[in-house]
Amino acid sequence: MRNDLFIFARLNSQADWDKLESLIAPDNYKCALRSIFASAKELNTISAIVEREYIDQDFSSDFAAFYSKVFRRYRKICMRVHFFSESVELFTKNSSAEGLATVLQEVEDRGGYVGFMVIRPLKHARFGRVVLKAPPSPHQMQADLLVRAVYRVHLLGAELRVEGSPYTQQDTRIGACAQAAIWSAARHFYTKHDGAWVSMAEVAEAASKPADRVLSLSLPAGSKFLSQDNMIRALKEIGREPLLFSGQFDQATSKIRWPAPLQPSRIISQYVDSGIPVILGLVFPRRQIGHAVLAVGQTTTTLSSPVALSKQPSRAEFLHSFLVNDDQLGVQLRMPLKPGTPFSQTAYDVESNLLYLIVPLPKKVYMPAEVAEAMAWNLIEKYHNEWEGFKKNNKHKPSFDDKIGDEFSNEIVSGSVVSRTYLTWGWKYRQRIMNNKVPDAVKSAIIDHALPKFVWVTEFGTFDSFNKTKIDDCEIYAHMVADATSSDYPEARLIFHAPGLLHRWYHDPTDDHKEYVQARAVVLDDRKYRPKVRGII
Amino acid sequence: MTLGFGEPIQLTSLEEVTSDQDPSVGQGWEVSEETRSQIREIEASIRSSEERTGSFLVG
Repeated sequence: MRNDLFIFARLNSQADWDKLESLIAPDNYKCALRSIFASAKELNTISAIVEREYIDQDFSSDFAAFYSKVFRRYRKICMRVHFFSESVELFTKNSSAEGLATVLQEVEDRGGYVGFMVIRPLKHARFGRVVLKAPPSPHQMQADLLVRAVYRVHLLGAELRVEGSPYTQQDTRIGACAQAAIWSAARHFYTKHDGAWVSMAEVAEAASKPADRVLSLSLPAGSKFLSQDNMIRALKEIGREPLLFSGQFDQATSKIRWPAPLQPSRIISQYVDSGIPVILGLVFPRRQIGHAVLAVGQTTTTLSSPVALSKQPSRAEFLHSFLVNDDQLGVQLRMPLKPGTPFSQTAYDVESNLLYLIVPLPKKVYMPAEVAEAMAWNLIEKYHNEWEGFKKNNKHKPSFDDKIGDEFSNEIVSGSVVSRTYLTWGWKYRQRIMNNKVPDAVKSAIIDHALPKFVWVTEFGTFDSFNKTKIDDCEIYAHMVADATSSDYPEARLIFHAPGLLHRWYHDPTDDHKEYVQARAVVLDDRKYRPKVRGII
Repeated sequence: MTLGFGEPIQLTSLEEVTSDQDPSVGQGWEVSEETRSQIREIEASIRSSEERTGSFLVG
């Protein structure tokens, strides 16, 4: 029996990291590796365990689909490296087997497991699956890994868990960056939402059926690049409903123009904030083929007031960058909105390079976030128009708080109201409201309000109430709920709350075919409440 | 209507006026023409995406 199947490494100095690097990537493809190491270091990694022989389900699938069929001999045995933010002082000569497992489990329980990377036995594409914890926030900013799930791995009798977003590298034989981005999205859906498990080879296969002209431009077919059609076929195959948004690249100026109603940063933010990864198609001047990366989170910052807000501003006003998984560069990297932004980690940015984006929506979502948000703003306008009359009619009621309504109405006039739109499950929205600070009377109206499987929620705060580093510290005044499964937008509105007022739309109990019944109530003792916070109900 | 068993759970404590009771409820709260036009513009911009980048490859 070999005694070097598991290696424990202290990573206290650069020399230690260099040794690890030469063990797992003794070749020239080190750009992504160094970036992954940098991310691991940012997460305070100080030790690692290397499993020298690991059979990886993903690579086994790729091996069966391609590598086992070519003349050159390939191994199918991978390595797996586990990172820890504690010095795992368990590999002493006197350690018992039980002691090893127990100590590892205790490290995990204390949050000392940082994540893992699978190393393929391929010189040209070392990285299989990589999952690391969420990155730390840069100074005075908040980095939110919004597309995340818990990944469980088993090592030496312990179950280790890491909450992150999966990353992989293209191998240019089975797939390119596009397949890598789709694979990462698919693996997230599998882990978080019981979606289909697919390997890179299966993504490539799904992208190529039916075959088309683009696939015949590279060998093996589709291994070097994909068109939007190919990507959309693969996303459909894994059970998603892709939605495409595009700008236009002007060859003369090398600039990208987006149609006025589409603001790419705002669009990405809405979907990523819904926990949906977004595929970003990037263009580079003088390069014929673009690049695809996957947006999995965002970094927000605070702004010094006063600031010029756009019309109907959204929380995207506070964005610094998106967190992207780039198969060539690394994991959870900050891609800025504009060139020259401090704390950026990619050479490309939204303004200069983003040509299109694909949102893999869940099935049954028939309305885009942009439409839901436009309807929500319309209700804000109506609320403002009616506020004075509404206040006059209800001011005499005890506990009717006209101050919060005046305050919000004034913010509407001054253009300082800020929206935030996200997709969620109907049941989860209800659960969040029950645990929020809204008055009990509002909860009592929402608790049995029939809701569809998916809803768009648009929250409304103000510049000041959203201008906080952490979303936990923000407050909102109003919100609208729209039926995301409706393709007929005027019928999508379900619930609208703003200071002092609750307006609801629901099926007529006497006849489903009639227009929705509308119900309106005065809300007494109204107050500001919490926005959605991921991980907190 | 009684079902013959159990007791209904009284949930709503908010005093609401419905459009059944008062037809003025919801008047003026239709989706405005300006918003409809905004939505048509959004949908048209999404629809035309294919023309702008349909042949663009990534790899």
